[in-house]
Amino acid sequence: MIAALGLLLGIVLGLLLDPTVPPWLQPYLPIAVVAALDAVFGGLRALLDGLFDERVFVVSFLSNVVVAGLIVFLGDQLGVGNQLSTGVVVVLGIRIFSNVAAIRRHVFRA
Amino acid sequence: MSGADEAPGGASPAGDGAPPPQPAAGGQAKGPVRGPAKGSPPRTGPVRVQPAKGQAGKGQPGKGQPGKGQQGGGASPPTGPVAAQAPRTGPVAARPAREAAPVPAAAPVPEPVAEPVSVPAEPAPAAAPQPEAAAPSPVPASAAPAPAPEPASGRQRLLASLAPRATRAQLLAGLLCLLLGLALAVQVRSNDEEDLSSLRQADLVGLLDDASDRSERLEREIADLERTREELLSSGDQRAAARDLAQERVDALGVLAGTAAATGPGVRLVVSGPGVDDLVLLSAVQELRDAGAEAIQVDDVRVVAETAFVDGPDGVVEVDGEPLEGPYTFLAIGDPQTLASAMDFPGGVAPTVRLRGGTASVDQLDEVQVTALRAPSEPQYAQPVAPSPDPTSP
Repeated sequence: MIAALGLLLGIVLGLLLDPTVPPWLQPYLPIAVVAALDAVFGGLRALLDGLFDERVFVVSFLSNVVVAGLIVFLGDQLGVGNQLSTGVVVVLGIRIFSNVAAIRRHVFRA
Repeated sequence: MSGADEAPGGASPAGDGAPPPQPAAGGQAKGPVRGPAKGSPPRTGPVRVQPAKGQAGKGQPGKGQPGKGQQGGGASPPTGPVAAQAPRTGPVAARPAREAAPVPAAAPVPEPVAEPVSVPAEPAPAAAPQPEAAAPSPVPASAAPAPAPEPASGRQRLLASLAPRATRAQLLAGLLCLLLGLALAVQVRSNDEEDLSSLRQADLVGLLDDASDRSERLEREIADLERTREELLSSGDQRAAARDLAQERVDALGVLAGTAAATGPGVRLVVSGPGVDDLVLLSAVQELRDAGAEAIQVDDVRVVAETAFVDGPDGVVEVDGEPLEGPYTFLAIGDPQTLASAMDFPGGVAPTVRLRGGTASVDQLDEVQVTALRAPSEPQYAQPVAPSPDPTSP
């Protein structure tokens, strides 16, 4: 509940305030968002499975974001930032899909 | 369907590698699968579930074997869910254990019941409803107060979770979600703006190269166009001047050539009488020209350079082939005074005519209209020589 409210509040704040992203963060923000989304969907799935644990969620959220950022950073340093970003997005996208499939099974029983 | 869905999910994230076999293999597979998931968060469920599992027998060994949970560590929430089917039964018991602490005594009772029931049901992704179905039975059996609502489906759990519990972890999760929403909105917004600042260095360098190339090209184009414009402007001036000059010359030449009507101060000379012949007329024209006449006509014939006076029969004079009879009226444009005196000087036209018994009169007029025109004729033999290079010096 608090998490959902936080998410909504964050979106509204972002739209209203329209803060500028510091330049150093800009390459990582999209990846971080996708990684965090993965964590959120994973958390939602865990919630539906009855496995949800806030600590796990927080840790996985942060670690997802940090790891995704690190991968992109490393890719940038190696000169394959674009490709690695794509790879990360693909992997996270697959995970999100599988999580959503599980959530769907819970919610719609189908 | 479900298997297909799960397969990719399990295959790609290494940590979840176990899930695919899980639905197929049922109980045994479930154990290991769940292992990794539980491996990381053993603090919560498993610890408490352990006794239950111990009774269940199947879950316990599974949990123990897959100590390889390292992979599952980071991805624990996703992995856990993959192992869902197994945990589902476990937590069903675990939850009540957690929330209704005093009940654990009762909990173990329903748990074994629920587990075996769910295990056979495992392969089917619809395992959720089954525990549900199983749950009610244990509930009345054990008459445990807490377990009844909890072993519900995911949907009910979702609803239950909507109740805000202001624990620190919940608040932290809410804060993280707030950050996520913020980042999401900002990212979407900044992406809408097509901000250059989100591009990488290499892209920016490429864009810069493109831009400078284009600006160079455009500057070259600008220089070209400006030069052309100046040329056109100056040549436009020249052309206008040339056109004006040419028009002046056309007008002047038209008057001279007799192709244009003319008006201005001048004289009217009327001669008549028996002694007036072609020679008299010719000398009159000569005198008028000598005195500066600019346009002359005789009766209705314009006098031009090639005008000829030819004596015809019966006192008729052909002027340019036009037979004219007296009295002959000359209209000449020029200085009236000069023209008049040119007619009257001794030995001039008027005295000569009068000598021969004719009459001659000269009137000075403020305005004389020379309206007779002569059709321009193309020279048949004369070809114009190349024009002089300087148009202003005709």
